[in-house]
Amino acid sequence: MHARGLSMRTSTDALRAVTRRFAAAAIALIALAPSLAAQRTVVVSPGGPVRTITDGVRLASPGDRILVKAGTYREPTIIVDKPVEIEGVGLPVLDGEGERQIMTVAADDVTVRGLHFVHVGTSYVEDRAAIKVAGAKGCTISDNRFDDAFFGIYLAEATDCLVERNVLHATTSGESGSGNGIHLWSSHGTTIADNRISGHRDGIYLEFSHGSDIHGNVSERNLRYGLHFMYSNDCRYTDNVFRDNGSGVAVMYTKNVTMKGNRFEQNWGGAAYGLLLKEITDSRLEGNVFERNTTGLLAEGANRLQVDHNEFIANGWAVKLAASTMDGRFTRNDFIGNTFDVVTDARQITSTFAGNYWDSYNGYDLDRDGVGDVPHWPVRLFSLLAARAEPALVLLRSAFVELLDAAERVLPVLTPDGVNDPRPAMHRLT
Amino acid sequence: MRTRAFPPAGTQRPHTVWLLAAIAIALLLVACSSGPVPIAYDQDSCDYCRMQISDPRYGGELITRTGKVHKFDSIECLASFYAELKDSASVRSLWVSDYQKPGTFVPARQARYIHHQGPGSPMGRGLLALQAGSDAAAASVPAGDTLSWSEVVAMVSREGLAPGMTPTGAADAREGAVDAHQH
Repeated sequence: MHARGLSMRTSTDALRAVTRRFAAAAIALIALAPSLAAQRTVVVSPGGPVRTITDGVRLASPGDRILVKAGTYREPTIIVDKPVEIEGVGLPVLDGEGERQIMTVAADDVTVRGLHFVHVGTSYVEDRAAIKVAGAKGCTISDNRFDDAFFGIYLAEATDCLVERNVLHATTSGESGSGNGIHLWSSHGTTIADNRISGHRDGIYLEFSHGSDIHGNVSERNLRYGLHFMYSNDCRYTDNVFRDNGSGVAVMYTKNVTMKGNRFEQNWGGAAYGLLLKEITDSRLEGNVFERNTTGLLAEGANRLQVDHNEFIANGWAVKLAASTMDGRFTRNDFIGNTFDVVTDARQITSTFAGNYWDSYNGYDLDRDGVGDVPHWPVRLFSLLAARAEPALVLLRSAFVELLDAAERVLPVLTPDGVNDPRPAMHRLT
Repeated sequence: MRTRAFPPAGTQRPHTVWLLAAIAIALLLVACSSGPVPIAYDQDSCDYCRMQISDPRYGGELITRTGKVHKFDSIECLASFYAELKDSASVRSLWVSDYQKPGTFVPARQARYIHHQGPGSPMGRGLLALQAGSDAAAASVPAGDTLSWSEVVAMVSREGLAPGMTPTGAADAREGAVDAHQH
């Protein structure tokens, strides 16, 4: 009786345990099932069953991950036509062999990460790129390398994409340099962050692309511009470095651009400048550094521009204002060690200067409130003469020119009347 | 004898006149060669939009009667500059790059223009020029409407450099005029 009862209890316990285990397994299976269905991983490797990325994409379902193992892949242009994540392990090389576009993304929500694109090859007929995203939303292109691409990353009618931590390098001597590094055409809401671009025609190029956020990039030694904006309203670019590019940076035909905390440096050459603003309206320049450029800031048709808290250091011309630049406001900037601080081709300008620090200021501060007691006139007479007859620049450091400038300071006749800072700062502001 | 060895200043004048005349004629001859001047790509900048000229498929030139050469990065910039000129009689010749022979020029007034949609031309207008009588249907040429020079000028005058973007103050910048903005 006792023994029977015991055995019965034992068997009930065992049954219960089995039921419990089965239930737990069933729950686990139910919980895992959707995630298993959502993301499988397709492995592509040079020696494995799937040897090309094209096959990997073909075998993958939407939402899958394609893991590309290290090696070199040479295959026709890869068309990514479903939302997948393509991720390289050990920086696999995708070689265009100098004759084709390497990857075309034609689906939404595609991620491309950790790949090394090489040798796209120049074309006069099409804008070939290492990766072209055409008409897709929500792509992520991150942590890739690009060497000897024609165009590197090309977004055409792409929306809300993220391009970050890529390194793009084209050989400046070869033809590959004639394409742009990161190229946006009619692509809105893009974030371009922490990339390094060198040797391309323009490092970063935007055309008809609104609402972009460009930060933390280093764009240097490109053939033409470090950054080039055209017809791209409501963009921000912050904390980038634009160094030693053929012509500097150009922001053209655009409204409402915010430029903060960038460095524009070492752009030397007859027609080179740190920053060209051409036909732009309602834009802000804050906390940027313009250092060692032939011309720091060149503004032509730049209306209602606010220039606040920037540093202009050791440029040939710190600021050139064309007559067509209306209602600019220059406040709290430092002008240090420039050959010429401000030059303009206009007799009267509508831009104002207030509270800037000028190292060429010869005035005094008797009441010691940190503000000079007499206005500063930043346009030197000689800079006007030099603008008309450039060879006259050889006279720059001569006693005659010093005398000329001194005379003009005492009795201004030729220098534009409106260009003066009524409250020059006595000390550096940044 | 003294006067013969050192003729008075007056007798020197005819020589000076001849010399000046010769220089003037030489200058005139130089100025008369009104053909297009090669563009130094990646060095010259556009006289309309200020951009560095770098794509040899799309450039243009305007040469004035006085021999001044204006260079442009695109057909839309050349046409805009031309459309905004106060005195079009000052133009001696107009040139555009042949899309099919990058870096070479054809006369702008005789060229055929293709206006295509999509990226390509330096200022985003999608205008390219072909030599009259060339094969516009060639695979290398993007498809689009065919325009004449006067239609191109009319288009940029009507719509500005790019669709929806009207040029503001570009003409004033070139004239260096402040008066236009004195309200």
